[in-house]
Amino acid sequence: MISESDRIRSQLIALHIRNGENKAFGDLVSLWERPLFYYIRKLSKCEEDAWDVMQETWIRIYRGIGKLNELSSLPAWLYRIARNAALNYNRDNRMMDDLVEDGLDIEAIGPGGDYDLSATDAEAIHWGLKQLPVKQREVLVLLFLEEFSIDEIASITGVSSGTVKSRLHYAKKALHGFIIKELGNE
Amino acid sequence: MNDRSIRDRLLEAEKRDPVLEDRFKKEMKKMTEHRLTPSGKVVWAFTTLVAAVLAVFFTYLAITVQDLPRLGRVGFIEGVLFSIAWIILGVRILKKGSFDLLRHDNSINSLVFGFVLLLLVNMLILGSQIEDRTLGNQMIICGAVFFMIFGLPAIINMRVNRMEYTLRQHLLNIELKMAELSERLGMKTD
Repeated sequence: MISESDRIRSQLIALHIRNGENKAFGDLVSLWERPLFYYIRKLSKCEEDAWDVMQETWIRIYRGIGKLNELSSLPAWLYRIARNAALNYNRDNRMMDDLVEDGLDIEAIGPGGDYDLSATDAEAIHWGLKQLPVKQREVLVLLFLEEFSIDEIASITGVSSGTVKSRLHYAKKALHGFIIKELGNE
Repeated sequence: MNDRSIRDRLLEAEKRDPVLEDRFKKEMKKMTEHRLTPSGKVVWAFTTLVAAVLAVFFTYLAITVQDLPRLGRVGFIEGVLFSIAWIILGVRILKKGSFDLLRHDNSINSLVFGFVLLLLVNMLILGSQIEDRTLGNQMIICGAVFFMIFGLPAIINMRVNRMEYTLRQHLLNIELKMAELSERLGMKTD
């Protein structure tokens, strides 16, 4: 997850922007551009689309940051905006349709599950994430990058906490399986 | 799984096309710049022209009008300065063909707010000095009412926001120092 000092630094930057110091916006972009791109890339069909969504995301952030009252929720707010921008950009894309909640509330399962990925290499996880369905990939990216809580992921993705727990469980299980299989093939 | 190095390594693992990245960075630079539409250009050209006419008119009044109180002449000079500042801004925007939200927005707000405040102070002082007391009192009352309606709430609001901003900034700075300290201590322990 983002370091505590960078998290507070982000809040300070947001505070400066709200105070009319618009030049601080560049600092916010520097701090969040990479993780937001990673997340958006995982929701986009190709890299070109991801860059277009990135641009739209930052325009929305620029317009909306002045109205953000709760600065501590800045990271979740940024990801929510990125997700909405990606969803809007590709409404016709079948892959993105997968992200819209289908209304199914699957039985809640503990967030940790039985699949410990802590010893797994980052490259393997990065590769494995590409193999997952978008819905599962999305929750895992949010967990890996920012260590968001179940409730935060639920608020970003617009689904219930139970659904997030369930998706996390199946995503970890699937990712574990993909990685084991890939390592076995090598 | 969730330590910072894994996060960083995941981010590094995402390869980015340098051409697309460069295009994005260029677009980001232009993000706060709004290209002037044809109607926008007309509006800016018109207001710049009006400012030029006013600059000439106020200069003429400041020089030629006889028996004008000193503060009245100062008011005309302020009008000339405001008009010149507006002409400079208008010409820059028209020359560039775009409106920069980061720079021009702040310039316009400061210019208008500063000019109105100066004019108001002028009017109140002039009202208290003028020999015709009826006219003087009218000027003071008009200025005071204008200030109560537009100036005072804006100033109070600005002060409250400023205080809240400063307080939150101090608290966040303390939090930041503590976080940096604990991160440094954590690194030493590791």
